[in-house]
Amino acid sequence: MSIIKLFLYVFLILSQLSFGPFVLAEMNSGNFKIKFDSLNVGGRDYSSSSNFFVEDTAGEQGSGQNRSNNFSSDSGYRGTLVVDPLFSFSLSTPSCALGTLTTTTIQTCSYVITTSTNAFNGYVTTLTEDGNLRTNNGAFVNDIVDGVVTVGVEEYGIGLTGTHRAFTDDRALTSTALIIASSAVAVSNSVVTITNKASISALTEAGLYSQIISVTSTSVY
Amino acid sequence: MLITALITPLVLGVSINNVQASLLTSVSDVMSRTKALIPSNHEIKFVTPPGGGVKAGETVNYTFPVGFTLGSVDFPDIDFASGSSNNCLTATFTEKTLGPVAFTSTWGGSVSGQTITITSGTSVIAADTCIRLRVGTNAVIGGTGVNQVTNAIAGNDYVLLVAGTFSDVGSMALSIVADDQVAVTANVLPTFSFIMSGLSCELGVLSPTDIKTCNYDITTSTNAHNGYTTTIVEDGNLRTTDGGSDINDVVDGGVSVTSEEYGIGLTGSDRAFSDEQAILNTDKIIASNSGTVVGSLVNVTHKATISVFTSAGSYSHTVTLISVGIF
Repeated sequence: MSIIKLFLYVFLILSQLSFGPFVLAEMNSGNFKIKFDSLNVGGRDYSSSSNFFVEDTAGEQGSGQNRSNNFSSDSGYRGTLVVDPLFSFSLSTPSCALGTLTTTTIQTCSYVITTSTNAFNGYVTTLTEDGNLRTNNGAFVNDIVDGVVTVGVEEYGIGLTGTHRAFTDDRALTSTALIIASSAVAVSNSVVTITNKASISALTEAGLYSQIISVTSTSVY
Repeated sequence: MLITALITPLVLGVSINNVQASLLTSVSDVMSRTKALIPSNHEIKFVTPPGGGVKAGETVNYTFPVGFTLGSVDFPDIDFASGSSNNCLTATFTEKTLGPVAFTSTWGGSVSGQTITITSGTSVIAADTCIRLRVGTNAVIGGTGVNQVTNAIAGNDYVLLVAGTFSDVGSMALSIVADDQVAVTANVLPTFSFIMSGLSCELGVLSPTDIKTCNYDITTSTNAHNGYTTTIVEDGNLRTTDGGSDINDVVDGGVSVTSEEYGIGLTGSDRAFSDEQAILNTDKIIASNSGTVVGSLVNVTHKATISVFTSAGSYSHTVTLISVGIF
């Protein structure tokens, strides 16, 4: 071994012991560029004993995540290109006016939710009512129970259209989260239209009825 | 060369400081509200990978996106639980005891900037299980949380990161919208109908040996919240044309043969009384309902009998019926 080699190894030892891991600069030439290269000397695909299980590596330098607005790369052993999670959700309108309810028609109003996400497990959107469709003095329109809002019967519920709708009949809103749309995979511009429907009987009390519906969409990665 | 071979792994071996992270799965954050700039609860779940889990002394960091404000959120506003399985939808969760710092079996919960850090004392969470964090008023262990996380301005792709010394990492995106609620309105117009079956009631020739009657129906429909009330009022007693004589009003609850008595009786579910009572020159309620009704029918029967002392003559009076819906 030459004196120079011995010096280099001594330098390496001192560098590691004194300053921790190297911060590696990018490697490049006229033909390539590696922003953060990795230098490994150990590790195996899976290490395990009765007490642990690990996908490990040893002596790795310059590994870690590099992020931008649109992606991140996870450099190093088993490094992966990670696409940032994306999720957009929109609600077409914050109001839904059913107008004057009658015993001879079904009054409706609609709004649209649009969802896009790259989540591996897709998304779930729920509706939650703050109470029945009701008046200030406590009267309310009965929730639908038979799957369809019928003329002349006091019933109130929602119907859905769209590929990712959660059900095909008319259903009542509830004070707990009601799933109205979902996908088990990533989606782009998944559109679901919610139509609120109401009919009344002659016994339905006069008055101004209202309720608030909260819309919550969650992506599942 | 032998020295080289021995030293190289030694040199690089002492610099081992990373076990590469695995990705968390089923990462989600269910928010109570997603409207811009308002407080919201969060329920964040993820599944630790095989070989993962949380070991004694390790931390789990939840870093909220820039723009979200944790404000006064602290460990009393946080619940931390481990699930019974790797299915976050069906797992049952065991809540951990949280304190400001980790100590033996008490987990530490702290907030700094955008990050909530959960620190294990001596406790562990097994690999391949669902872990749940609740922040806000949905945190109820040891008292209900008070402080919530305030949402950022409206926008998409807000990335919430999960990392820490427990080694595994995950992220999810949140969407904040201008409005996350729909106000539904409807109107039901007031209705009211009142029908009398006849405008006259002929008692015929009164006799001390029987009770003469005549009747008519009143039918009411209304969607008034407080229902309706129908009253009857007379313009005076049942009397002769010159006003010199009249038939005595019933006072004992029943028109009886041989007594000079005149009154009304009612039938129908909304009748106001079940005995026989006199008609007054002030409003007497004969029918009512406290709610909406359709076709509520009450029959009003006028009843009269006389004694041998009742003066001969033609008797009459006019009664007025008024029905009012109470909305």
